[in-house]
Amino acid sequence: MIGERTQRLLVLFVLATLVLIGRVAWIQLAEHEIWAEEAARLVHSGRVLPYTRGRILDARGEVLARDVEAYHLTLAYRPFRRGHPLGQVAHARSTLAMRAVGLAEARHNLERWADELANLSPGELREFARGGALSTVSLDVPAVDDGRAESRGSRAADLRFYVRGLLGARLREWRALEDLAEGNPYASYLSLLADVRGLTAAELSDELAERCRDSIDHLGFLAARVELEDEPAGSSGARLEALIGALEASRRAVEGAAASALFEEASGFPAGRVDPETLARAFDLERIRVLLRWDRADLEDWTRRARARWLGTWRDGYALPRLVAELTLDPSSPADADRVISTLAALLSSEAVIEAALDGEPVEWDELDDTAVLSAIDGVFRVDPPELVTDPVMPWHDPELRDSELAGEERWELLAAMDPDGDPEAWQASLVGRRSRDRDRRYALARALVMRWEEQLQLAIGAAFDRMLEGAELDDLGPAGGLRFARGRFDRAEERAAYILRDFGARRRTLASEPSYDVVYLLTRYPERYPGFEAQESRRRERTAAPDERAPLAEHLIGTVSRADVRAIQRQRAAEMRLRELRQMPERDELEELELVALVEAVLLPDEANGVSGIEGFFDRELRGRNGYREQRGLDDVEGAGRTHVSVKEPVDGEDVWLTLEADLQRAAEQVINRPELPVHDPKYDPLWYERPTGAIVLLKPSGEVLAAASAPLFGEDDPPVMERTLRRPTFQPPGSVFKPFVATWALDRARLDPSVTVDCSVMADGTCGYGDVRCWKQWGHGPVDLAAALEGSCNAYFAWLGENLTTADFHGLAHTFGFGEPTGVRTAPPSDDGLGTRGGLAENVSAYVFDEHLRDSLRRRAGNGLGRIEATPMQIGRAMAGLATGALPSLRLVSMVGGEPVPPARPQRLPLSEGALARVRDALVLVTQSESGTAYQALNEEALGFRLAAKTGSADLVGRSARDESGRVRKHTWVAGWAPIDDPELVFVIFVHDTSATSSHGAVYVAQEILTHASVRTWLRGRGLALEEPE
Amino acid sequence: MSWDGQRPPLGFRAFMVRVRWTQIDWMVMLVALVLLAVGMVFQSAMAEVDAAYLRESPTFASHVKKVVVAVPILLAGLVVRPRWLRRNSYLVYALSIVLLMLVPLIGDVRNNAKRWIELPFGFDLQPSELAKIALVLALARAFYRNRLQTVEDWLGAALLALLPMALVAKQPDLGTALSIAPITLGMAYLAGAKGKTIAGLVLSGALALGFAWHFELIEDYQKRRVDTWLQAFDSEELIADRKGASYHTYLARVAIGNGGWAGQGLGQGIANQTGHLPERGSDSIFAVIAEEGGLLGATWLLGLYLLLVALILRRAGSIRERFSRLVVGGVALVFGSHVFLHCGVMLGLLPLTGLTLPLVSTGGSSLLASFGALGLALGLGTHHEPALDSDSFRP
Repeated sequence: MIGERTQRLLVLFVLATLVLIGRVAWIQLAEHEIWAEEAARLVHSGRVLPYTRGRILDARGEVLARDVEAYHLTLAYRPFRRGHPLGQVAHARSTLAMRAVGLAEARHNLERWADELANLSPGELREFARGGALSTVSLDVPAVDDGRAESRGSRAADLRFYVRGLLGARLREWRALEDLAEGNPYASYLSLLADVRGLTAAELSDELAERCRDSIDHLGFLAARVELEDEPAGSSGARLEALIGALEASRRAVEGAAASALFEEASGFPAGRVDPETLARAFDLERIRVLLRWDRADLEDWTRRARARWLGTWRDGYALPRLVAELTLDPSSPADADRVISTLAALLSSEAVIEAALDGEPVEWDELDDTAVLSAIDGVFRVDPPELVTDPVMPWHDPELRDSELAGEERWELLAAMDPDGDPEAWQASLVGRRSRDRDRRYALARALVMRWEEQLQLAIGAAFDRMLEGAELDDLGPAGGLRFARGRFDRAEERAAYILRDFGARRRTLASEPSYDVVYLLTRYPERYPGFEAQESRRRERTAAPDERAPLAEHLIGTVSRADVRAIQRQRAAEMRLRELRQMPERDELEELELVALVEAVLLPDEANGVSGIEGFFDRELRGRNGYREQRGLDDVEGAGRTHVSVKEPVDGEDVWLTLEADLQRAAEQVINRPELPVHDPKYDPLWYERPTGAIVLLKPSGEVLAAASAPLFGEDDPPVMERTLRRPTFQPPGSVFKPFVATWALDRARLDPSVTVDCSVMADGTCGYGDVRCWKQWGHGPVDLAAALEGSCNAYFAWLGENLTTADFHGLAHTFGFGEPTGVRTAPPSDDGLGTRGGLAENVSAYVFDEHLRDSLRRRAGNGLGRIEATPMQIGRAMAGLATGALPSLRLVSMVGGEPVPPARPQRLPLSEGALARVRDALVLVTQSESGTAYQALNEEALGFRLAAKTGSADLVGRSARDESGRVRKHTWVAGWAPIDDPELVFVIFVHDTSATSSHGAVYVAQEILTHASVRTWLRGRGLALEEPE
Repeated sequence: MSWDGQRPPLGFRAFMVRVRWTQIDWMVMLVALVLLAVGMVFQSAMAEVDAAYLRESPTFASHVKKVVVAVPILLAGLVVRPRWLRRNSYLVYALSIVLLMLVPLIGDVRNNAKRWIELPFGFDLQPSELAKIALVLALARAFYRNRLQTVEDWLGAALLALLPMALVAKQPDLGTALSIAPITLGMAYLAGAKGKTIAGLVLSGALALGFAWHFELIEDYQKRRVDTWLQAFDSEELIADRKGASYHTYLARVAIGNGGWAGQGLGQGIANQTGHLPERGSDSIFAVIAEEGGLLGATWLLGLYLLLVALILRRAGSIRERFSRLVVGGVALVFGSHVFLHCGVMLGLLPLTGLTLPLVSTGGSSLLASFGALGLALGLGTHHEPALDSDSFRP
């Protein structure tokens, strides 16, 4: 029986219990779904599964470009620190000495320090934890009154951990050791463990020393096989030092990042946001120092690194490029002055304002009251900050500027007022430019502007902290005189310190890219020797090497891939945010699931290959696959249990693209055009051109398949890539006499040219020979020539006469008929193309002539010789030559199959010209190589090649500054184009030699000879059924 | 000279009495053992999960060790002579105050607070836990002759309570400091204070808090903590602030809410699996139990505690000797208030503060204090009057 008061109290307890049960029921039943979802989110992670980009293969299936598995040597510092003797000793020593003892220093003292640590006793550590002194052979840690302030307890626990790790004691052994220690607390860990193991202390000490030596040997073994970035050349010792240096850098990065996270947790803003001098002077960073076992020098070093990281990596490397890109994302409306100020001023404001600016919605500058750091320090310290928000700290706080009524272009004066050292006109100019140099200029202007504003901000921050320091009581200041954080500000930071350190320590950093197989084997075979090291899989685009070996085969034609640029990343920012949101959802409905899949496919991964140029660019849609997505639900325990994988979507690899190119012919063409043999027997060859050959070789099938397309040079003077020359025309590029056969064919068929009419190419009154204002290349003239002779000898006078007698419409018609000024067809999308969007890559110069106005006589005379108004690419010449050889103009193609689906060739267009006219011209072109007076006879006759071919040479003088070389010779470009065999063409070739003083007959023809007698070409021709004689 | 009419015994007998085993309230013992077993089971599961996920955490063996260390305290409580205890209760109180005063001087800093004194054999003493039991003894001694009829009567009791409260609050450990208030008020009520007076005091305290809040007399971090607490009633706001100040509250709520009706099963809860919930084994253990045991498990646990408190109160009500009666009643209040505060914090009914769950949480001082209190309740409870038919707590 209980009394009334007891009953009343009991009733109170019953009520309290009912309240608790009611609350539990509310949370567990009514809100269960919410919290179950949150719980699932905590153990939910997803991984985007990257696709494999499609391969690019030649006509015979040789792989020219493909994605290959590659490895990166990575390090997670935490396991290294905890598991490797070097890490254990360095960190134990840091814990004892309260300074970051470097790994290099620890390496030189490894055995000695390890022995000292092992000779500590449980009793000594217990006293150390209470603030007592601790002495080892080489280090004396004095006793302190307030041992707790130096975290002696947790430091002692750390030391125990490292000692156990060094001795390699298993759990059971350690427990037995602890039991022994209760009776003999001042016996060393070494002797206690020796007792447990039934060894002598000396034996265990030897084992420890051996373990230390082995650990360094193993590191050295690894170092000898790894090529680190910025690695100094030298002995294996130097390589080991380099590896230890890289490990030390990882440690600094981990500790620095953890310190920054702790600081930000306590202060609310990044440490790097404040000038290091102000940070060290005005903030009490003692607790961070103690937590990380640093001395004051380490702390100062961190303040500098944090600042450098914020300025270099975050601001200049991340935020600023994105904000600058944001200013020009809409090409139709360049940013105005207000937009520029608002966007860039965000960098001097709070995180939320920066986020808004990065999202493309910057806060208007005249409403921008938040100032970085200064607006965030209220309540952070024990001292109240001065009234800062109302003071004009930054230029945009100036009320006069805010009230300005300037309009339109005049608003740029506001920028001038806010940044007197700036250049608003340069800003305006850079904002409308689209070239890369405009982008660079914009970035430079923006960086200079924010640097000047940053300087002002740091002055204001420094002044504000000076005022706070002046007003602070002694209790408000830490031991080094910095402002102590307000009570509670550091609570949560410290609560999470262990997680933060663990988290940053577990993050992997790349030490070396693509280590050798030996390294991968070492790490997978002996993981216990290399704790923290891991060979992580990655992917890279591998290309088949060209003969030159400095560049891949068909470098320009296949093109390049690159990672997404900053504009692309900025463009997909919203999609990326949404994707992140969807990925965090533990449950998604059907629509959300579809949206996730679509975004996983659409959003570029940071290291995803993006086709930029050539085939890689043009067929990027086909080569690119679709990323997959896999989720893990639950966590992975030591036995691998407790998790399930859910594949939301499997990745779809990109499609293979089969080219018409033949790798062997391509190699031959690249070799010949880049490293041609000197025609030493010809005194008129141009040695200058052979020093740095510039030109192109195109080999085609008459039906239009491109067999080889080589261009030289591959690199510019200082190794920048140069323009491809088979599809592009870097300079004005008339075909010269190579154009004559097409003029002749048209004239025969459409202008009813009588081929027997002769034109006299003789010396004229002025001592030159030619026709009208056109000079013939032959010093004493050809004499009277008919069409066949004119083609054979490439007589300029004849074709000047012929051009004069043709109309502008004739030129227009003949050019169109032979495909000049028109796309060659290589940029034809595969049949699967949906017609939406544009394709980059495989850039081709198309518009190659201007025959749309009435041409005067002189222009027509020049046009008849392929000069003046007409220009062409080697591909266009090749296509026209194929048309002449077969009577049907093909559409060129580089790709025969995409993803297993053949790309059907376009039907060749039959030339609207009579067979008679065509045959007459073809016969004349045979004479070019087979008649002794032919311009290509010397190098391309049957004896020289072992087979007969039809061809035409051509030259055209360069214009402009580079037109003459130092010896006064005219610089020109020269051509040879033709086909073989004569009657049933299998191969069309074009040789283009740029910037030479030798005519085609003394330059280009030798290049043609070299390629046509190249073993690969001959093998190919034989494969097509040609009976070839051996060349002389 | 203080003399109760009997010659005080000498030697051990001055301190000890023979245990009256037949008079022990075995129901209390049984419920306490069940709670201890619940704690053991959950601590063991927790250690196993931590081992499976390679997390460093206190081992189950260390929990058992603490329990073993605490058993002698339980026995001491059982055998202590009530009269000795009454005569020396101020001495015990003074010792606890000395320990509390030593904390700022030799205490170990953890989580930004000095609450612990490190003892040999890896045992860390948290004097504030022991101070609560000492306060119960001191208040019982004070109320032994004091019926709380005058202001002076109240003043003495208030001073006894405020001194440890202030010292504990200074550590800072506001949660433990505030937990002293219900114990003090409860004991005052058991000692005969008028209900209206106590209600008035509670009201005044609330008004004082409101005043302090309004005039910004409380520390910023405490204000933030209260703000965080108020926001945390709204699940959306709590989720939004999960990486901010509500980190701990959020994780506790997720764990509890995830439990649902029947719970996730032993060692299967998200709190154990992820290891993110701070102080899982001690200040957050209710969240772990509620998650793994579900509403059923949590209700059973709370029911067990209610039963324990009720049984102790019943026994207290049956003790004729006023000091013992008040001590045993005080023990019920210590258990009851701790349970309510611990669970209230985990459930978001109260602002976040660190308090253990008696007999279940790990933590040496908590177990020492709980076992000591239980020993006193059982030991002093043996001196009861079996057939009282009127209110023994009457004025």
